[in-house]
Amino acid sequence: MIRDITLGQYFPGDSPIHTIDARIKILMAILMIVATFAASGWISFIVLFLSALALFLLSGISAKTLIKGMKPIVFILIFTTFFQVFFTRTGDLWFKWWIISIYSNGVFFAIKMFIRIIVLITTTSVILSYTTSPIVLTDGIEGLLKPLSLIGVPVHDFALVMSIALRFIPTLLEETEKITSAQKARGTDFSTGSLLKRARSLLAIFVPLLASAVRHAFELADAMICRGYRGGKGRTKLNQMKMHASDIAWLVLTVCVVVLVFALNRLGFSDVAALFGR
Amino acid sequence: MDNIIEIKDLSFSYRDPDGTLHPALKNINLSFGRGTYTAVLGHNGSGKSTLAKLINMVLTREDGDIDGTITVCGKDVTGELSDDEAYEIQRRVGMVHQNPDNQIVATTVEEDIAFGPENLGMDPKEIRRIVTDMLKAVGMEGHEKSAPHRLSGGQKQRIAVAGVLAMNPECIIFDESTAMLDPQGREAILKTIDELHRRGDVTIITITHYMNEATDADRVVVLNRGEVFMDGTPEEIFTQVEKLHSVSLDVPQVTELFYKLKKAGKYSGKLPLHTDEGAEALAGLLKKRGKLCPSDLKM
Repeated sequence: MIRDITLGQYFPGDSPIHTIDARIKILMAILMIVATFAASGWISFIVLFLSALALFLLSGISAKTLIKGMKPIVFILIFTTFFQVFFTRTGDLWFKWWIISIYSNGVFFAIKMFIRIIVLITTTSVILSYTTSPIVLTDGIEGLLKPLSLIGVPVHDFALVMSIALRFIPTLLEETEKITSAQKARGTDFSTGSLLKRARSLLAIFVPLLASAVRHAFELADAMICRGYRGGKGRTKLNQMKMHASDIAWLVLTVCVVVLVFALNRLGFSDVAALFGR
Repeated sequence: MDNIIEIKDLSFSYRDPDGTLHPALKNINLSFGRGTYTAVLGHNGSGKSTLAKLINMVLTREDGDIDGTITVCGKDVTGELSDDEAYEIQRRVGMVHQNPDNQIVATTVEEDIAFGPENLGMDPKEIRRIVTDMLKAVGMEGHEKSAPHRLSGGQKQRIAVAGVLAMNPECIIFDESTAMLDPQGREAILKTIDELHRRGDVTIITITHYMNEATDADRVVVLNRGEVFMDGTPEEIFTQVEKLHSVSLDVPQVTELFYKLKKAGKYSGKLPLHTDEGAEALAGLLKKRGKLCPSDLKM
């Protein structure tokens, strides 16, 4: 059972988004985040929303998955919307009853904030977590940070640590399961008693798990030395990351979105309001 | 024959941080010819893993007191070696460890096999060719993209073997590599070892306490309390049942059976080591005597 866990939220596939080079994807995600925070005009928000929608549709990720992924932020969404609507005191007064007064700017800010958060979550999860396996992502980070190794940042070591951590998650999970069963068989009670008591009984899992993780680490280190590991210097890679013209096109496209968002910001709220005759 | 490993008057004691010494090996003299297949047998604590770790330079003077010499590919590995020389020795002498999980570094099978060649700085195209060849050599074609944690113990261990083979070693030491495997996994590894041996270009040393695994080797070395207790062909070793029993080591089950038959005076031929030989001998006995009953085996 526990062997079948998927790492992260990656959904394997071969959509246009899946096949983009990981390095480009990371840059795209960063650019989209910049665009989301830079947007202030209505037209910019429409551009943002449409590009997020396009990314989502191209990725072949189901709407159900995406909505499920949004669950943890529903509270934040409600919270910010609530505060924007009820506590903004600028713009026209639209509604007043007892101590509640709603101003036009409050509603507009709330809608913008709402779109901003939705777009932020959609783009980052569609570009990165849903369509990129953690391993490829690690390689991508290594590839992007490589120039830093020239000034002495241990980029390779960092990437190797990440990928070994990923590699050992299932192994350690399996071990946790075994240790839990073994401790239960010895009479450890994990489910009754006060919180403190239960927390204490968890020690019976953590201590052996930690001991075993340390043992794994030493043996793995021996095995790596036996296989000629001497750090990142002079190492080659089996799977070279190749940048295709399409990857560059994606990057250019994303840059265009950012530029568009910045440019259209000038077409502010009043222009659109005028458009709707208000 | 030209020897890949020569051990002369070797003694080794582990040193505790407080300075106390624990003798592990005493006065070992052994040599391993190129392309041979040797099984090293012994109890826990007989020093067999220590020997392997010394050959592979996992244990060095930092870990204990070494007396005597171990010459691997013409270099004394107990002496002072430069980093490059040590690196080269470790490439030439590969090692497959006991726990398959602790040898697999990468998140996919192909990248794990590629780990060694990548460290050697080989060309990616060449690495790809090696990965394909090695997967074929251990019978794991089609698993390139598999995640190691989804493989069985035997499969993982075969990947580990492929990873060591990818370094193109001259000698491979299997340090209890079958100890954590189920019978099928063990069978698969033994088959892989056998095929490697048949190719003939690699020297194989297996360290084990399963007697059945030693019968396929060219030569068996029995260690007891840090000393070479017996050294010879499997036939020479396993037919000395009493001597092995005296240090509470077993012989293969089929040998044990015929040893008991012989002791009971029901059998007089040579003791078989393999089950098929045993079956044949048993068939011969049955033909001669008509039947065997359990009381024949009473000692």
